[in-house]
Amino acid sequence: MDQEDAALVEAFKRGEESAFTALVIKYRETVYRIARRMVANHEDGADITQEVFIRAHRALPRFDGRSHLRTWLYRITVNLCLDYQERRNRHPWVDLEEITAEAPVETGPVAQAEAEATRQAITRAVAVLPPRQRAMVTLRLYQDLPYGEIARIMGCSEGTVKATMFAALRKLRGLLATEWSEKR
Amino acid sequence: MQCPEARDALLEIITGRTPPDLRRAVAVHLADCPECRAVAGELEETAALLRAVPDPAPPEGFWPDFTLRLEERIREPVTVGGRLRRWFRTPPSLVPAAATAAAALVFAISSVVLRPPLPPTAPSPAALVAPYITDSMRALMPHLDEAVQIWQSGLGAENAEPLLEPLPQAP
Repeated sequence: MDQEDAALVEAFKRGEESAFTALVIKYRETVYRIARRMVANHEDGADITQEVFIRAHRALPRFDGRSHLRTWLYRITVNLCLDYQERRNRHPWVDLEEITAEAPVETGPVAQAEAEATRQAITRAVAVLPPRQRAMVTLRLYQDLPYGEIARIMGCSEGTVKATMFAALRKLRGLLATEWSEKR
Repeated sequence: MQCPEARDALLEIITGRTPPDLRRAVAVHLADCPECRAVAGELEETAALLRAVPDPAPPEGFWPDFTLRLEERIREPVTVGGRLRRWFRTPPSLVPAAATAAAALVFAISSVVLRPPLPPTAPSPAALVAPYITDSMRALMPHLDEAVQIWQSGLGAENAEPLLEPLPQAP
């Protein structure tokens, strides 16, 4: 485990609440970014981020330090996002358009509008991926985590992560190609 | 290097950091393998597009509020009711839809509870037969209940046409 994290965890276990605040400040933005890429909007991403740290606060006294604190936190995050996704799937009336609704196309130069349209197309394509594939793409491409660590977070083998990533990238390519060919 | 190995390495190269010797080995393979070259092109382009999407950022002033609210939540005593509420909690974006569903459910229940009582109906064929089946008959024919069930789903069904005259009144 990262030495700074280990020291903060030990301090927290001794009763120093400020050590936990330091951990929150260190990891909150990454946790939020992972959650936000997995869920539909800022509010849900923020809720999940808060829940991650509440659970971490409760479970940290039992954290044995065998894995990285980061891996442990990301695992909580991904599991909460997958739970959220499952609940959402039981309420299919929520429109996927909500995902891109927060970033309206800005008026301005054509290039800027095109870049925004591309961003929205990519976001929509990623949203179509099954939640576990989306989690792996997020952890690999946006957090640069090694495949071994992603496997520990997702609770599967490294080979499964690689095969899933391969499938996810090819699927995304297909989705984007279809979307762009329809527009032309 | 064979294709499966090369494609495994391609993922490493395209989506992360790879040692130079592995990159060289993959480059040698790609030079001779048009299929893997095409796959490499596709993966590289897709990964580059995905990486071009900027990191999502929360609204201004979000983090100080977040930390305060988190500290409040942490200080809250954990009750069974609170846990259940959180467990059942619907994501905020689903609240309007959940409210509509709850209203529909209340309406459906109230329409069942408040409707006038149904008129009395004729006894079912099963009720008519029941007084004729005695314990001694059951002891002799252990599968009698099963046979009656089969009969009830076919000829003895409530809406089935009667084949025989109605049974006489039970003693």
